[in-house]
Amino acid sequence: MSIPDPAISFVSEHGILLEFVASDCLVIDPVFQQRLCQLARLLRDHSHTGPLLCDIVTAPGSLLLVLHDGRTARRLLRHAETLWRASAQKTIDTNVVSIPVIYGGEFGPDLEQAALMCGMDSQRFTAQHAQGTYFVQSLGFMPGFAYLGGLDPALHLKRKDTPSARVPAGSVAIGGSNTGIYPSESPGGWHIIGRTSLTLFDPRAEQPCLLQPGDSVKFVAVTEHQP
Amino acid sequence: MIEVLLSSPLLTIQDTGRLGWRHLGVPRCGMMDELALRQGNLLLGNDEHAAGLEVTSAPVLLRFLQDSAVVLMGADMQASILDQDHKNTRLQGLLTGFVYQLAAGECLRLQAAKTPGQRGLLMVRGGCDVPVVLGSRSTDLMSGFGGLNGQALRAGDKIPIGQASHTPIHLKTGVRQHSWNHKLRVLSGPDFTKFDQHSRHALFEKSWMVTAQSNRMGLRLQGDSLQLNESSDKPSTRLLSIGVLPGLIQVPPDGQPILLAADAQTTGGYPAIASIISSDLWQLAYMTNGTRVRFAEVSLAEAHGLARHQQQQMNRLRDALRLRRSPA
Repeated sequence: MSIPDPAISFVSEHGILLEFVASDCLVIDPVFQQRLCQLARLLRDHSHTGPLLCDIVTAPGSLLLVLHDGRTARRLLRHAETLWRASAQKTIDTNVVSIPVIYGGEFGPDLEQAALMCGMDSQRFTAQHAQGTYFVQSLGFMPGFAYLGGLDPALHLKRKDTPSARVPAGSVAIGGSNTGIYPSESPGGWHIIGRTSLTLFDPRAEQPCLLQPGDSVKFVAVTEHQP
Repeated sequence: MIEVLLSSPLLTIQDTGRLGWRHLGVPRCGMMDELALRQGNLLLGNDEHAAGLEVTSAPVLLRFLQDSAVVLMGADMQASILDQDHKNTRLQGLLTGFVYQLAAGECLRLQAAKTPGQRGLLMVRGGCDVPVVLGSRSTDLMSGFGGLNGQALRAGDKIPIGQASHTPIHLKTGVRQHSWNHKLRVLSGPDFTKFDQHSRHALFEKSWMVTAQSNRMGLRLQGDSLQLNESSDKPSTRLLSIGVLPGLIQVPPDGQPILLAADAQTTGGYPAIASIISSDLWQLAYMTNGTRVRFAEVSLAEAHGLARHQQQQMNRLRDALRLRRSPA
């Protein structure tokens, strides 16, 4: 299996964007996205390609390869093709992260409204949210903010018309077809349904982000946070 | 140590930026005019990537608590050196691109740039020695880390100064600040062909005015409305976010472009019409409310050639300064 013909374009002369799906596509196949995340990891770790790369940014259905020198693009893409083919047989071993969440109440001020918009009661809403297995499509918006794919279409919610001025760190939220967790306090337009006590981003830690592209995520409903 | 006696908004510690963390959503940050930072550092015998101060507005008053050597770059800030009580001026009209020495206790005053909002840079021998966070000393104002406590500098702050990596250079040697012309060379972006013919034409033929809603994250431009093709059958908007970089020109539905700058987010969902080539990115430091900019398209090969040329110039400067350095 070769890489499905990506559209190649430039985000700078050192930034090569590979798009694997049409730009009007809305939902990404989780298995495909996980392979993209795996390809990004392989390219980063490989002794031939790692030194050429300044960074690889995964986004839904695309990879941005940021090179130290854009002139090595051709070489890098050849290696990418090889790594992609070699990875076809391998099963992707994903890291599974469990996130304890207190749903609703003061920690999830938008839960009732969100459930109403989806035509269900809040208990069923949280049960469905906690039942799903999610995966990290990409990180963006702010350091450590993971866009999680795999949300049940019954729970998809249009973003708020007026964003909240202040969303506390650890807030678990839904925006469009994604769910996610705010790593730091910020303004935000997603619907806040709960909160976790885990630290999502710590710039001083050796591993600054709890969630990495390609990780699997489970939410576990709890009634109080462990100290 | 440098003591901040009087600060101004957006006075921050910046180096060449935080590289290699965009996959986790961490922006680059760093000095808007990275080229001038590196020049100034070389002149002072610092590591090229050492941290300095980015000055966006004035006045700023700093007291040097130890004998120091400094270089100013960027916009002319009408700098002067004053005595301990900042009453008497010892030297005024400091030039950019030259080394000045201050005795312990002396103060440096920076006045407003002639064009408000254009940035000035101050590099000190030894560099600003704040903790390295994720590989950089740059202040990330949005997320509140790096620099000094993750914030813009305030009166009373004390900035530690590090050790220079090389012997000092001859004080009579200077470097030339690159002069900005607000003509930015661009590559066509991922969504260029999705824009209608008028828009693709207007991008290069019209001038664009920088508006007041501009900052280190992005510059908002005003001009002709850039619109996507409506004639094609396929929806031409972008529904999925892509990885983005400083220099990318995004166009939100109102048709007024946003030019991403050093602190820009790592992913974005607006159609991307073009990107500033890396060797022209430093000019963003001098684009401020009311500045008129123009874009000119270049080929990928030209962009690579210009980037390499810029790197060679920096290498030549490094070599030239090494030759002039007095033997230790």
